[in-house]
Amino acid sequence: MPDPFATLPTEISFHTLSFLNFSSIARASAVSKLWNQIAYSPDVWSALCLDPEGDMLKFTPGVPVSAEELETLSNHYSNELLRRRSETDPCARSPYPSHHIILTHTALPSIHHSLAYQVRRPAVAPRRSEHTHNLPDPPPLWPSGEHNGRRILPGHSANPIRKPAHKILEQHGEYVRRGWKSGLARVALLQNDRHVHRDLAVRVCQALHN
Amino acid sequence: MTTKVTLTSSDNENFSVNKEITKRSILIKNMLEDVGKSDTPIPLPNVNSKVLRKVIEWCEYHCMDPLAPTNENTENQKQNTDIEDWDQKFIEVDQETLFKIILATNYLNIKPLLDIGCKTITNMIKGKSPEEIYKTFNIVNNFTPKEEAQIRKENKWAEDQ
Repeated sequence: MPDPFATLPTEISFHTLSFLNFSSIARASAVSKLWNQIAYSPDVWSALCLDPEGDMLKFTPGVPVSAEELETLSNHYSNELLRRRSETDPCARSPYPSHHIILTHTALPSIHHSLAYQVRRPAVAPRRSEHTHNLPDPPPLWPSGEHNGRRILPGHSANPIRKPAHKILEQHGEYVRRGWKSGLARVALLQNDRHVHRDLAVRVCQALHN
Repeated sequence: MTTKVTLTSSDNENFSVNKEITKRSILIKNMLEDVGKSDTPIPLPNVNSKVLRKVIEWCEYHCMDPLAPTNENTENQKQNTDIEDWDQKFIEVDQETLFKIILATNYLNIKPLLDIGCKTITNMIKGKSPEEIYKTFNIVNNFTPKEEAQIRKENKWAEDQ
């Protein structure tokens, strides 16, 4: 059988890969240069990260995401906090196997931070882990003043983001991909190896704040 | 009386098909809506008769399926790569035909059949090591040893599964 990705149009290759889970995509990326290129495409990654279904996050391309939805999304990226906490408190350890958790705040502090970060650092080449100590510190995960009650994400009140969801997801996919490739990040794969579960992420965040 | 529509394949073979069945293809459905009543055959220059016959066979078998599944249904299907028994048998074709069916359904815009084709390829990739994938698809590994080592390092977590 000839190479399907060399034969079929790119969008069909993306579609084919979007049925795979992360670990299979990782293996596929090690096949050849062409496969690597397709497997690392943000299209594949954004589809994987936020495949809408059931009680998962729902996004329809072109529909603006509400501030609440964005906040819930950014809650998913608090794994770094979870990790820090688990070092001191074994009870707060993530219930997921370590290979199922891929995002850290370094790669994906939050959707807001990602967008801001990208604006400040355009066209960043995929980072390698050995260079990480040279990178500027990422924005703080939890802004000061967050502890009295509800967390307020930067940019919420002043300048609410009105980007279409698919734009945000494209960038989201790009950041997950970049984070993964850098070896720094460990992408959050909660449930099913491919879906980020909204309620679960909210519960984890609440547990951390109590 | 059911209305028939004539479809002409790239190799000039005519297929007379029930109009409702041709509406499985969003491309043809839109064409018919735009053109209105017409007896003119619809030329499909991207699809040969062998593939068109297969596609019509699928559409006829699935003629009772809901025509426009809601977004939620299609998204739910995304979770798994399971293919129904009949479809599985239907798609057991040589790879050249498989690719041609995928291309034809992409052109004709028949998403459920496109998904079946793509899932068939996905199932050949799923759970396989890069070495097994080389064998399945006759792919030559064109990474330099250094690049390969780097990718293996990045993907180490995936190999434990």
